[in-house]
Amino acid sequence: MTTTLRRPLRLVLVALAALALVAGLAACGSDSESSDEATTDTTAASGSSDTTAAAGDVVSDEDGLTIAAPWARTSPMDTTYGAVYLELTSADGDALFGASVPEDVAGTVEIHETVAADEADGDAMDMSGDESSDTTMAGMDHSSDTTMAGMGAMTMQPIEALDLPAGETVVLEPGGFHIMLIDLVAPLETGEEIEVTLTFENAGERTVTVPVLDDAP
Amino acid sequence: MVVACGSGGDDGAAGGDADAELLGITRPEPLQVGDVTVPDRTTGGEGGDFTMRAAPGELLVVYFGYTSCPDICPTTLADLRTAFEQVGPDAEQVDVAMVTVDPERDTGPKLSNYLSSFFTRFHALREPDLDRIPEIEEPFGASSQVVHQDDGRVEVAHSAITYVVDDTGEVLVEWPFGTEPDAMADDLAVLLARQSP
Repeated sequence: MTTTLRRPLRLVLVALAALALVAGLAACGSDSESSDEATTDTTAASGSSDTTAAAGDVVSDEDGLTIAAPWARTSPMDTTYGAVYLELTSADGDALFGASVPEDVAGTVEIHETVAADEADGDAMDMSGDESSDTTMAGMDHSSDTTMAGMGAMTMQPIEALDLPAGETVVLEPGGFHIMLIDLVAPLETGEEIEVTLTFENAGERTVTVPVLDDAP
Repeated sequence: MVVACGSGGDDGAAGGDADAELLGITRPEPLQVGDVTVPDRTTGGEGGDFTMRAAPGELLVVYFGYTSCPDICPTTLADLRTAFEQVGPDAEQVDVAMVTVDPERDTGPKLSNYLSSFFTRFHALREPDLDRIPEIEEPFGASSQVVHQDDGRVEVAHSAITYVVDDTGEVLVEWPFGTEPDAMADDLAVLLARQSP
C-alpha cells in the first residue's frame, strides 16, 4: 500500500504567485508542514489568474512530496499518443524514475523531454534551420521558464530519471518535460480522469488522479 | 524595413487595427511560399494539390508536424484553436493547412481526423515522397527529420513554427513554439484587418 494522501488543497497553494500565496497561507494553517513548505518553496509556475480553478487534486504527504496541477491533454482523434503534465516538489530532494497507467489506458509510459534538435543527445540531427538574424520579434510573451530555441527544430527524447532538487518545483509542461502515454487503448476524452502512478527514488510510488483537459488549466 | 512600427499590440483580438504592430516574427524580405504545392488528402476534399496561398482576401495558417507527436503539435494546434475562439466569427476567414513530416505513419485519413479534432476548416497535406518534403519545407525555412532507431523507435525532429500566409503566398508572420494564444489572436485580428478591401 502506498501512503498517498489526498488533500483538498487548492492548486493555488503551489502554482500561483504572490497574491495567491497570501490566500494560500491562511488555508495552510491547519495543514501539515510539508504543505507549508510547498507554499514557501515553490515558484510561480502556470501563472493563471483564476485562483479557484483546481485542475486536479494536490497530493502532498509526510515525505514532503507534492504533486500539483496534474492534467493530460485531450488526445486528438486517431492518435495513440498522449501527454500528462504536472508539477513536482520534493522537500528533501528525490527523482522521478518512471510512471505507469492502468493497462486499459495505455500500453507504455515514458518520461520525455522536448528539446531543441541540435541539443538532443545521441544522433546528431542536422537541422540547419534558416535562423536568419534579420527577423524581428516584438513583444513575444513566452512563459519565463521556456528556454527553448523557438526558431529551431525540436525533438523529444526519453529520460531515465527526472531530478527533483530539494525544495524546487519541477514543472512538467508543454514544450518541456512530459509523461508520454504510448499506445493509448482509447482516446483521452475531455472530462475523463486517469490514474497515473509515479515512481520516485526515495518516496516510492504515488498515484495521482489526472483530469483530461482541452488546454492547460 | 518592413516591420510596422505601430502603436503597440494591446488592442483586443476582435476588430484588429490594421496598423498595429505584429507580435510574431516578421522579416524585411518576407518568405514567399505561394508556389509550394502539396497533395491534399483531406477527407471529403477534392484531392489534388493544395497551393500554399490563402483564399482571396483571407489568411492561411501553415504548420509542419505529425500525428504521433504528443506534446508540441497538439499544444500548438490547441493554442491556435484558442486564438480562433478569441478572434471570433472573423476566424472563419482563416484556413489551416498541416503538412505531415512523417508520411510513413500519417495516412491522409489519419491526419485529416487529427485536424478535425481541432478545426472545422483545414487541409491535411501529405507528400508521400520523403525526398520531396525538404522541397516543401525550404521556402518556409522549415526542416524535419525522421530517424528510425535500432530499437524500432521512430524519432521525429521538426521545426515548430506556425506560419500565416496571405492570398499571394507571402508569409506575413511566424509564430515560434510557445507563442501565447493571445498573441496569435492579436496578430490574426491585425492581419485580417489588413486583408480587408
